[in-house]
Amino acid sequence: MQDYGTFFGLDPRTTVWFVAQIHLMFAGFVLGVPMFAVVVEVVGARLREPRYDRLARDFARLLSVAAATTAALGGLLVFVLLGLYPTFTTHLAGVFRSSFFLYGLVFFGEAFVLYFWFYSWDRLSSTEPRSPLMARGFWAATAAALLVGVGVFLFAGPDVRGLRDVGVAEGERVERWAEQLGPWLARAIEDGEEVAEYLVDPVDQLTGYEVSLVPDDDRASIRIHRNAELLVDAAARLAEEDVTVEVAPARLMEAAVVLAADLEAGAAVTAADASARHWKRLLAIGLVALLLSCLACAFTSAKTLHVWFGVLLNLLGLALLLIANSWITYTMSPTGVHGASGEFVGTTWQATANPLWNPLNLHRVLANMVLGGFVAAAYAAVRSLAAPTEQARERYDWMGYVGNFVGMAALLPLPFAGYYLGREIYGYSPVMGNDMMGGAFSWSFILQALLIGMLFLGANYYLWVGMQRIPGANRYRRYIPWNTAILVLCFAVWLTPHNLPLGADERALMAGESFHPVLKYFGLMSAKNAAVNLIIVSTFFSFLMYRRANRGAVRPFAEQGVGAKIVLLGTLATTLVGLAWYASVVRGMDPASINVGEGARWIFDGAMYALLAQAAVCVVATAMTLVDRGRTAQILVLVSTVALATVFLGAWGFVAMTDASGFLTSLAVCQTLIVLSCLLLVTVIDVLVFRGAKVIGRIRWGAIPRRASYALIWNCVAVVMLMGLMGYVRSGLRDDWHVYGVLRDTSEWAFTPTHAEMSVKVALISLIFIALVALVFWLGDLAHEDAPAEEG
Amino acid sequence: MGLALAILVQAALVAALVLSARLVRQGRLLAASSMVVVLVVVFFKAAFPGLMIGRGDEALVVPGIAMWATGRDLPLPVPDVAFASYLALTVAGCLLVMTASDKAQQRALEPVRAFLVGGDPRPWQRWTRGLVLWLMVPLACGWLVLDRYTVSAAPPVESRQAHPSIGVDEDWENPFAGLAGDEAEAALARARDAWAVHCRACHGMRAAGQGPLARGYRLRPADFTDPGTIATVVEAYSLQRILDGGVGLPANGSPWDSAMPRWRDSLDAETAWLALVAAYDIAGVEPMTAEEL
Repeated sequence: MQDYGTFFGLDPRTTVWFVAQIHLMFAGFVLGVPMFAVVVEVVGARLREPRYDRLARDFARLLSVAAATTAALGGLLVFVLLGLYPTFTTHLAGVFRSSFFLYGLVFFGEAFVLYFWFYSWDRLSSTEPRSPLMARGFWAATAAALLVGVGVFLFAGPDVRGLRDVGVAEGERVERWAEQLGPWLARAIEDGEEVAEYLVDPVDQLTGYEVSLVPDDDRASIRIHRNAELLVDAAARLAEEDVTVEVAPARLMEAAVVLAADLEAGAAVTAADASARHWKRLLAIGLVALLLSCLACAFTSAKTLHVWFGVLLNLLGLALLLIANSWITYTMSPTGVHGASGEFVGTTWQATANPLWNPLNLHRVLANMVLGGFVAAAYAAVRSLAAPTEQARERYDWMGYVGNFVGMAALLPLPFAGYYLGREIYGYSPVMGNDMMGGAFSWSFILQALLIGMLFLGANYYLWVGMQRIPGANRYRRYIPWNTAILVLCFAVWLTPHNLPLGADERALMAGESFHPVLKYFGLMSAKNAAVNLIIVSTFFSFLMYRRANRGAVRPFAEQGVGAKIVLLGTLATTLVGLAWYASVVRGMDPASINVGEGARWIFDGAMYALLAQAAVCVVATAMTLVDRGRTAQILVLVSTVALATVFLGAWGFVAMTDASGFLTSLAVCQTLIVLSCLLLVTVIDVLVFRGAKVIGRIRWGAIPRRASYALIWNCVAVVMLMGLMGYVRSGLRDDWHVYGVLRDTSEWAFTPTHAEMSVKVALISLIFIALVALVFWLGDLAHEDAPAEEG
Repeated sequence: MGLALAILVQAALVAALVLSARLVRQGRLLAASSMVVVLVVVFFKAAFPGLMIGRGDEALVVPGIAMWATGRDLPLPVPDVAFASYLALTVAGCLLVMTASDKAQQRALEPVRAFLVGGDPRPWQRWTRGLVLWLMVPLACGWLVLDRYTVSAAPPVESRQAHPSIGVDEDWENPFAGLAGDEAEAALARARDAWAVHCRACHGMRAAGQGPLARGYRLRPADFTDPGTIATVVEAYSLQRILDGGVGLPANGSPWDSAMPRWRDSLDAETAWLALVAAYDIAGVEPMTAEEL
């Protein structure tokens, strides 16, 4: 029985839940904002426009006050974990001791760089060149170091998967041996025969191992001499010694199975070691490149050096995120754990690189940007609503727009990252996957759909209202009702669960059928995927309308220069590679590997042709752009994306669901790639075609209705609640385990709370976070009370 | 739910009323007639809920029409939850479009403003305004309060989980999975026998949940040919459901509505696996499997 404590009368689960979630929200904000603050700073430096620099500084000011709160909450989290869950914390420390230390160091570095970056803004503001020759030299050295890094990454990495397979194959061989020989062996020992002599030949044949068995009265020893020729380097560490297992005769088979697990774990450890060495090498090269780039920046100009510190801040923030994510994902999908004993026998790197690590990394990086963007936008909205002067209003209106833009830009690919994470959860444990999407947490995903739908509607609405301040935007207003209709329809599909809540009379009318005969289809994955993809394309369309609202006649593409053609063709090549690569994956897919009959291959072909069709459309669109038909080309790509990803593959999903359900996840990847190709190519075409286009009129910053500011605040609240909700789901999926399948939660609070309880707690967490954010921003503004009016 | 639905219906009515008035003034008769259709639907939904779901003695109008249109032998109800959420979305969408610009907002609110505070109205307009403000609004508020506090005898709405969260040993492996040729055929024959003896009566010959006893249950046995059922879970999960049945379902998500017997005490493990093999085979679906990550 483990020890659990209480926190001033509050149960440990609620305490850790609140502290961890609020810490995570602050951390998300602190890590998300620098990502775009540095980009804005770079844009300002390149365009030599002080307003961008000022905007970046506004964002940075929010960071400086939020960082201390994040650190304080992080400290509190560690203390409550130590005090309330000591067994779990000890286990985690045993696995991640070295990365704990690393985290502390990186955190120190991040704090130092953050404050240096913020407080050196004026000191390092000069754009005067310092020593161009030295700068070029160091830039060249940096590029060389990066090239070496790419080379090592591509050509010198260990074949980890191969090594792991060796271990698994050996393990399976021992298990087979145990199954076939175990009962006979046990019987022979019971009969008191001299079994060792009998064993030599068959065991050699079956296992390739030299085996001797020494029976005595009540015990037997299996001695396995590893045949070194049969083992490759992966298992060499274990092969150096003979393994002797002493067991009672009746447990011989079990002993052999444990031995097999040992072999698998051994191979995995060796693979993890090789992988860790590889990454350490890459890290060292990266550090050298970073140092060289620092010198290059220092010799370029003071401002460039300042930007370098901003980039370093992001890198350190990313490192913190990756390290902390490894602890979290280990608790969900632990690796390096001995199959039979449940003890951790792996390396820290092995535990770090668990199956859910990268999916969560990707998801959280994007989610942090969304959070950072929308929280910053809400801050700007509040300041804009309370702005004392027109200048301040203009300034905060623009800041709100940029925040919303960043939030939306990260929001568009976020569903894909979420899907990737969910898919890997399913892949790791289909039971956990079912709990997530079909079991105790399925209703949480309906709430999630509600919040994300609100977020998309809010973001679109802000753009539509914002078009009012753009001369020439009226041309595009006629599309708004249609776009809204599409969003609402897709939202309705996304919101409809497979199991509709029904009253008794409604259920009686359905004569006992489990699902609604028509609406049940909206609850299935194919319908949801189609709806989500269409929502993304529609929102992207809104953004395109906003972007070109004040643009008039465009220049001929030939006047855009060679660079534009290279960028366009490079983008085309990227999309083609992505689409063609996955088409070839689908074509080469072995139906048996995904539990599908050979006869269902035509379903694979349908998806493959959809990818190829999109590739063809991308080629045509690029050609059209080159001959000054760029805007028509955009429409072509948008229409084909909707037709292929939503209509065709959406319907195809229902076909696949019946005859090849194992292919559904791959089908979703096809849809994702088609939509991503559209977002990429259409954006690039838009940027190139409208570069230098006639401007109908300047955007009138500040001339936006107040309800647009409220839409930004709405989005902030929605994204905070969403983060709270999904944090709960991610953590709750472990059910009553601290570490899934390894360390059980034996406390009385190990139950999954009801949705009512969860909703109240998530709402409280959101409220506390927003209140704290308001407080720290207020504190931060005390020192800059008059700054906006003066600077504006 | 009643209160929320009532508020939504009210909001939808007002929105539709305002929009249709505006559309008529602008001469957009097609759009106006669409709004009138919305008004009629919402009105009937509010006034005669039975029309939509066949409640009580009222006619099965919408379910009946849907039954005729889809050729089904069962009515097609429009659940309250779906109606309320779709209506809320529609209202939200309309409000967003109506306020997407100052001009649009002004145009949308103008008839309302004119109605409420317009100067020097004609006598019939004054009467209408008085009727709405002093009679209909208080009546609506009263109705909302009454609806909220009237004790209902109806059982609560059930929100079910498709796949209850049960503890499953994911290492369980189907002992018949690796068989081929004659061995596989023989196992399949035994599996079908096991199905016929233990499962067919409820789940039916086609595993579609239409066995001879199926109609006797309040909630019919699961239709395994539906790709959202056993095709989305691993075999170990399905086996656990066979062994523990409805009575073994967890407290989380209860009360459950499952008549599935607990087979743990009456079937040996091999027969349970055979029944499982038959379920997938007869339904023509494959179980979910863990992936190589």
